[in-house]
Amino acid sequence: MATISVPIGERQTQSMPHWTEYFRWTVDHKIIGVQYGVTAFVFFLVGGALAMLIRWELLTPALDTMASGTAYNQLFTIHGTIMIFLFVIPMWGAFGNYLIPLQLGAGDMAFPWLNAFAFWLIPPAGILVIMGYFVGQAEAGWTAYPPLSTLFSGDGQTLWAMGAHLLGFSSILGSINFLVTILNMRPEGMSIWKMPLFCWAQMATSTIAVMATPFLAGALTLMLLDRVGGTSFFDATQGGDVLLWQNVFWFYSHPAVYIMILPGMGVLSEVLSVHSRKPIFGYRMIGLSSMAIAIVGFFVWAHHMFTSLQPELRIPFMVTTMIIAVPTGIKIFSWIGTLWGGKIRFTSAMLFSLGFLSMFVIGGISGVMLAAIPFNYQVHDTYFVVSHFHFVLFGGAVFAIYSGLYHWFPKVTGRMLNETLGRIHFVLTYLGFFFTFFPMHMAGMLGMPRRVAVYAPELQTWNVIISIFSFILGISTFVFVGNAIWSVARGRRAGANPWRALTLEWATTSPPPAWNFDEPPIPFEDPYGYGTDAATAYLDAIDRTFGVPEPPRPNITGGNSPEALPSPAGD
Amino acid sequence: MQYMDNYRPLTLEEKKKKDRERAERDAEMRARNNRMGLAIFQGSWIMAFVCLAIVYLVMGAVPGWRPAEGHRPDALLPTIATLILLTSSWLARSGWRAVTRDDVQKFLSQWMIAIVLSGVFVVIMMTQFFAISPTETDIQYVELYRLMIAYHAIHAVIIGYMMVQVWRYGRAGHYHSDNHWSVEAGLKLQYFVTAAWLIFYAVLYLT
Repeated sequence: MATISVPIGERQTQSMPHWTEYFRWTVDHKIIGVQYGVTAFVFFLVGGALAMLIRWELLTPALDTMASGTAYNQLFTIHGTIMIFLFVIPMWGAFGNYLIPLQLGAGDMAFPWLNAFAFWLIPPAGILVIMGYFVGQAEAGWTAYPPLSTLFSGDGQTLWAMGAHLLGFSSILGSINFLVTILNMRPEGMSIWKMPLFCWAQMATSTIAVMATPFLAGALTLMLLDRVGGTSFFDATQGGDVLLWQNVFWFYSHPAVYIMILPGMGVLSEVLSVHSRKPIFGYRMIGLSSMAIAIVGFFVWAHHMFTSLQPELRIPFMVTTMIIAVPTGIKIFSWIGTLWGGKIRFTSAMLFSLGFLSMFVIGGISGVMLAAIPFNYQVHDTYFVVSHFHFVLFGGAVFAIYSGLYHWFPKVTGRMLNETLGRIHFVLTYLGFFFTFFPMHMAGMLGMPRRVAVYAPELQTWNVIISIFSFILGISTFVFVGNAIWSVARGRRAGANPWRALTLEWATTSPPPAWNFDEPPIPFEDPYGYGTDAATAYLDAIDRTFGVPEPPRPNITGGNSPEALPSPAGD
Repeated sequence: MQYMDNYRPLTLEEKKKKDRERAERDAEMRARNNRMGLAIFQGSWIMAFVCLAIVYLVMGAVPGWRPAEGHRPDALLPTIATLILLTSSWLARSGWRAVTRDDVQKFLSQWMIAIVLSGVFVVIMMTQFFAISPTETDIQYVELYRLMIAYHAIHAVIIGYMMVQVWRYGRAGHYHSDNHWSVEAGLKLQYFVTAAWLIFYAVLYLT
C-alpha cells in the first residue's frame, strides 16, 4: 500500500519577478539562476560570433579576413575561453542554482549571499577576458601554454589570466554552495539514493571543481608572476620549465571537461526518463558512475601531453584514459535501457537529449582513439582533436543545455516554448553541428593543423564544407533566441507540471514563488517511478493542487503538436 | 492504495508551534551548513598549497636546481616558527573551548596570545623571505621559496585579521556557550593556516 501525499498551495498561478530584479543583487537562487543563464547565453552569442569569424577566415587557404596571424590567434583564444569559462561552466551554474533547491524541496541554497557573490564575479571576469582581446595579444589559446603566454603575448594575456582567476574563484564558491545544499538540505524521506540524478551529477561536478580549480589558481599565480613579477617559472632560458604549466594546467583542465559534461549527463537522466515515461534504468549505477568519472578524471591529465611526456608515463595515462570510458559507457547503456520500450514523446527536449546520445558517443569514441598513443602521435594538434572536443563539448554539453532549456523553460517562465520552432531549431542544430564537426575528422587526418589561418590549398574543400555548415549552426541559435523571446511573452501557459514529472521542482507553481514551497514538500518515493498507479495518483494530486496546463490553441503555430502536450495517460 | 492530501487549515496554536519548530530546524541547518561549507572550503583551498608544493617537488627533482647543502636556508628559525604556529593553534582551540563553557575571560586571554604568536610566526617567516638572495644558479629556487612563504603569509595575515575581529567582538560580549560559531570558524581557519604551513614546511625544509 502506498500513501501519496503532496503539499497544497493556495496560488494557482505565479508571475515572474519584475525584469529589473534580474539586474540587481539578490539572494533568490531562482533569480541568480536566470542571471547565470542569461549572462552565459550572451557570452555564448559572443563566442559563437567569434567562431563564425574563424570559419569565415578559413574559407580560403590564405590569410584574408584577419590582419595577421596574431589577430587570428587572439580570435580563437577568446573564442575558446568564452565558450569554456564564460558559457558552459556558468550555464551549468544556472541550472544548478535554479534546480537544486527546488529538486530538494528547499527554500534556497545553503549560502544565498555567497551564491550571489559567486555570480557577480562573472561579469567583471568576462569583461577582463574580453578586454584582453581589445587591449591586445591575448593569443596563447585557452590553454595559455608558455612561453607564448608569458614571453610573447601582450598585456591582454595578463588581463586574461586575471579574468580566469576570478572565474575559478567564482566556480569554487558556487560548488561549495551546491555541495552543502545537496548534502545537507535534502528533505525528510529523500536519502541520497532517492535524490534526482541531476543532483548527483552536480555533486560529482562540484567535487571536481572544489578539488581541481585551486590548481588553476596556483598555475595562474605563477603565470601572472612571470608576466608582471619578474619571475621565470616557465622560462626555459632562465632554468624554468614550460612543461610545468602543462602539467598543472591540465590537472585542472581535464577534470574541467567533466565539470562541463557531467551536469549535462544529469539533464539527460531527467529528460529521457520523463519523456519516455519509464523509470530510469540503473539509477545507482548512473549516480555512482558520475562519482567514478569525477575520481578517475584526476588521473588522466597527461594524455594531453603524450608528445612531450616521459615515455614511461605514457602507457599508464593511456590506460587510465581508456578506463574512464567505462563509467561513461555505463551511463550510455543505462540511458538506452531507459528508452527501451518507453512511451517516447519526441518533444524538443527529448530530441536534443537523443542528439546528445548520438553525438556524444561519437566524441567518446574519438576520445578512445586519441587515448591510443600511436594514433595520438599522428593527429596531435590537428583538426581531429578539434573535432573530438567539439563532439564532446557541443555535441555533449550544448545539446544537453538546449535539452534542459526546453525541459525547464516552462518551470522558469510559466510558459511553454514553441515546439515547432523547437524542432526547426533541433534539425538545424543537429545537421549544422554534424556537418561542421564530423568532416574535421577527415581534415585532421589529412593533416590540417589546428590554430592556423593559413593552410594547404588541397584542404580548402573540406574547410568550405565545414564553414558553410557552421554558418547554418550559427543561424540555428537565433531560432532558439526568437522562440524564447516569443514564448516568454506569448507562449502557452505551462501549469505547474506540464511534463507530469515526479521530481520536486514540479510540485510547485511555475514559476515558483520566492519561497519555493508553501510547506516542506514530501518527495515521491521514487523520483523516476513512472508507470505505476502510485505515480499517477501523485501526479494527479499535483494537477489538482496547482492546476493543469493550458490546453493548446490550434491557431498558434506549434501549439497543437500532440507530442508536446502533457499526457495524463501512460504515467 | 490510499490517497491523502496533507493540507488542512491550521489553528493559531498549531501555526505557532509549527513556526517555532521550523525556526529551530532552520537554525540547526544553518549551523550544519556553516560547518560543512567551511570544511569544504578548507579542503578545496588547501589544494592551492598542494599545487605549489608539487611544483616545488617537480622542479626540485631536476639535478642542480636546489642550492647545494650549506647554501640553503637554515631550518632552525622556520622550525621554531612552526612550533610557535602550532602553539598558537592549540591556544586558539583552548580559547574556543573556554567560550563554549562561558569562560569568556579565559577565551579572550588565550585567543589574544594565539593572535600574538601567529604574528610572531609571520614576522619570523618574513625574515626568512629576505634571508636568501638569488644568484645566477639558483634564481628559480629562490623565487619559488619566496613565493611559497609570501603566499602563506598572505593567508596568515588575513586570517590573523579575522581572529582580531573575533577577539574584538568577544570583548564586546558577543560570544557565549550558545553563540560561538564565529570563534569556531576563526579556530578552523587558524587550523587551515597551520596545515597549509606544515605542507610547505615539509617540502621546503625536510626534502
